Amino acid sequence: MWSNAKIKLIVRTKEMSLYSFVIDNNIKTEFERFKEYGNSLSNPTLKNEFYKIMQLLREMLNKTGALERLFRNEGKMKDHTCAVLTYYTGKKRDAIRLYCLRFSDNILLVGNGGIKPKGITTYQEDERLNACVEDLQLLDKKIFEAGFAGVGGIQIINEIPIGIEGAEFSIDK
Amino acid sequence: MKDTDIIMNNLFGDIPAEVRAEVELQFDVATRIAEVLKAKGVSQKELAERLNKKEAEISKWLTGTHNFTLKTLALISNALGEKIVDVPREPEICFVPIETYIDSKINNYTFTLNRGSNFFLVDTFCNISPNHVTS
Repeated sequence: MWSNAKIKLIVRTKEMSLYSFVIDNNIKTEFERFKEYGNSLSNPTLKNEFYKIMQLLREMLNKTGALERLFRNEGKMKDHTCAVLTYYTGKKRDAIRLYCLRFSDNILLVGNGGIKPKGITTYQEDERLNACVEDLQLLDKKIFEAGFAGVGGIQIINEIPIGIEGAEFSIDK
Repeated sequence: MKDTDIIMNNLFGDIPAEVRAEVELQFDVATRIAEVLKAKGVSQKELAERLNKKEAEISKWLTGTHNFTLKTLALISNALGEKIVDVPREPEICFVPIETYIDSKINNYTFTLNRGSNFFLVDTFCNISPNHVTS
């Protein structure tokens, strides 16, 4: 789990703002790292699925925004963690998952993801996926703590965090 | 090129054209179904009941990358009473004798033509009347 995290705006369209975050000593955002991971896949089926997930994000940015129906809730009921996925029956074969924090139709923060191996049903069963979700859950918690405390320029309006661009968080371990 | 276009191209420019086309179509179909549901005030649960499916199945259809079969699309159209996809067709051409056309005007009746038909008037020598081409 991260010690330092900084939120960065990836792109803003008329439909939505897409954010990601940089953790610890990394230079690239988690989304950029997911993109590198996807591009490095050698299995053609999974590579194709990775491209589909990327195209799905592009469609949201261009056409609809981050509508609730386009995601599957992950994590806990009280957090905003969800997944973008294109293949559901993960028991039959490996599948790709990209995890995000969906705050509204217009605000999406994308994290990292990876291969969900066949045979497992929950992300907790895979170390990489579990780490992706836990990183997002911690960030979600910190964003809302800052928002409710009114620090770092973040406000919570109608349960939506506003002003998250550039926000930095540290955890004492 | 605007800054946003450059960023979008950097982010998504390497997606193969065939994947792009496939997801665009799937996304548009899902959006269309969601819009028809909203316009008709039908919930996902109600649609599931009409189709004898689980609600989770409908939810999966609307995530934007479901590979619909034509049969499923026909079932959805039927259940909602609304076309989900429309395949463009070449308009048919109907040749109507000009005498019939004049007769219709004198005796006050109208032709029924197929939707999208082009309407050409022809005289007794089968010449298309240039001044009477309508659609």
